[in-house]
Amino acid sequence: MTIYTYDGSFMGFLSVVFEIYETKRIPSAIVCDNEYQTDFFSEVSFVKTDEAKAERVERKLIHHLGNDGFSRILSAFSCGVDSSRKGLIIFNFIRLVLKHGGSVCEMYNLHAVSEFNSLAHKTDKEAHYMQGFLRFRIVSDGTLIAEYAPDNDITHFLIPYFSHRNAENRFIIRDTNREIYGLYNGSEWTLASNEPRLARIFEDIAYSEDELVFRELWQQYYDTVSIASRKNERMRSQFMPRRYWKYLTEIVI
Amino acid sequence: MTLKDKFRILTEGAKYDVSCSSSGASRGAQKGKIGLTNVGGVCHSFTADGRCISLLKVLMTNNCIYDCKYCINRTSSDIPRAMMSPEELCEIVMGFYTRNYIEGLFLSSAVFRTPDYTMELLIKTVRLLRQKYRFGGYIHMKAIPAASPELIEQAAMLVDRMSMNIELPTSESLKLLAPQKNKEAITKPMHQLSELYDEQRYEPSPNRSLIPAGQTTQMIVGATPDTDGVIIRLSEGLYRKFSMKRVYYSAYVPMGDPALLPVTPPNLLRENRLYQADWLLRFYGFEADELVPVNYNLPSDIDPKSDWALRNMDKFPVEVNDAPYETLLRVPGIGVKNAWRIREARKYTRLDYDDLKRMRVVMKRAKNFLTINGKFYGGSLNTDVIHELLVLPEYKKNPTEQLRLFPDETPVLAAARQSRLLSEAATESLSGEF
Repeated sequence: MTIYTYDGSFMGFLSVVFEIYETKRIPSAIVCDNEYQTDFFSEVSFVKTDEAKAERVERKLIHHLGNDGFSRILSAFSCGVDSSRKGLIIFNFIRLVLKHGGSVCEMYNLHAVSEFNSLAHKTDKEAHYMQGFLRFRIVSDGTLIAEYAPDNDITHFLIPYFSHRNAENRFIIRDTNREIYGLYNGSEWTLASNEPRLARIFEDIAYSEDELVFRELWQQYYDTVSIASRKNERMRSQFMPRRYWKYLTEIVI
Repeated sequence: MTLKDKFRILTEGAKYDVSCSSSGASRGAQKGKIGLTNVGGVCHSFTADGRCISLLKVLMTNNCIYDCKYCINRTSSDIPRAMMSPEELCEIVMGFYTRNYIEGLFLSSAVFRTPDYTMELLIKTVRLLRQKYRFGGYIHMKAIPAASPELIEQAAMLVDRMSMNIELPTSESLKLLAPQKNKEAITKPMHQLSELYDEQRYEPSPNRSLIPAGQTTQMIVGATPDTDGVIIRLSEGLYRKFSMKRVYYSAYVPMGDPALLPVTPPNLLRENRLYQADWLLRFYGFEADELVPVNYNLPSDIDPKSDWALRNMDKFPVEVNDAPYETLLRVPGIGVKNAWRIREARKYTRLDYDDLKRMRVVMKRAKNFLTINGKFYGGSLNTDVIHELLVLPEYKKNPTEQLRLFPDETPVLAAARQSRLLSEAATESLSGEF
């Protein structure tokens, strides 16, 4: 039984998948190399990220699942649980797909399928929430900036979406949990991480003239639109979990 | 009056229109336009009353010539009046949209001067938003009752969805509470909207895009003695005859003329049951006749689907591995998603109890109505026993109490309802004619 470790990237994970099929050693865990705990009985094997091998795995999976199906694997991988939990779940699903083809997706009763679906669903659900909950602020030079603290690593899902929705703006989206930045300059987007000079943009903010006007109008709107005799705090927290309230402009905590 | 004050007054006036969704149109980003629509809609926030905010919902003006007794904006109501200019509205929409506060605009209005005058004002605003401000996001516009067909069509070419609120389920209630409106003022534009929507669905033309997200309507629940049976049959008729996308039910909030309208707090449970029944009509293949007789309300202590199942125990238990999809939909505890998943998964294997549990079927309910590979896992097939199991604790009532009474009914209202048991209004609704 082998514990496989990798660098934490998605391509790294696919490289591990390739390695497992090449060496045929059964994995007891697939973990990020900075997260694993040693196990007396297993040997540890670090797999270097190999783009070519990872792409072969990707092509095979797309062949069975289609682009939509493959993107669910990326969703499951982006799930915010620690890598030790999701590594094997995703691998077991991939193993089923490679053995039986794309029809396994319809076998909702299977343990491996339902666990995998659960991971992908967690990520996709939060990504959908964030399409709605992300709030931009406009700074003096017209750039839009946004901060949020998602449970899952979803910035790479949000950037393409907002680059279409706000196609004519420049924006920066910051994941404060992971220090990941999504950047869009009006025509192309990219991701960056651990950039102190980007972090500084969020510290000393000079807002545009009407930023505060709009913020006030929005806060007033939010308070006015509620019907007092229908007050339901439980329902509000159910649909809009409190951990997201920190970066919502309308809720002044 | 400052913009902030105007804005507050006009938000206050629009908030009882509960239609809010930004769904139904899938328009991707277009060159030269700002914004897009999402076919499933996006919820941007939730208010303290638990409802979703997805659009900027506001009135053009709350200055109304009508005196509908249930409405906060009625002319006899003593509230401050305001009006926004088209430019002011557009600036706010674009400012909010860019910051990702909203998906689009929901524009309504009180009837100012005449229906056509108001309609022209709304069209002017929306045209400004689409053309000068190049807004490509979602726009929902109200259709003003009695507006002329030319204006309705002009509006339909600019927006994603339009709606016309029925508000009151019968023409009798309408006569009593909104005497200046008549039935045709509402049904004629609804009919026209339905035809415009069908035209663009079945004969789409790139130059003519008309209300891609269709039309919706709203009914106030609890302002009149009309029963759930009447309401749900009206909804069924609307869905069938007018290609209605959705009917909204809004529990009456006391703010109208106290001489004619109840002052009790909004009956949210009743509203919830109506939504449950509405979902059964639209997604579960039910008909109104199966859910509730015309002169009764839905039971308050149990959901309509379970209620139907308990009244039809001769149809249960069904075998989960063989029952057709339409039958699976009728099992309490199995929703649309799971009925579909069961149908897919059983192509490959016979499902057992653990499989269903893993698929998140609500076994606590479903086991009373299913056999799984021939075995029955419920406790008993006795209706009363299962009824006790399905009732949520907060709704457990004294068994001798009649369950189908309108919960907050006063003796006066009850007498009024009794005397109208087979009234003209009920027959009218039955025939699908509102």
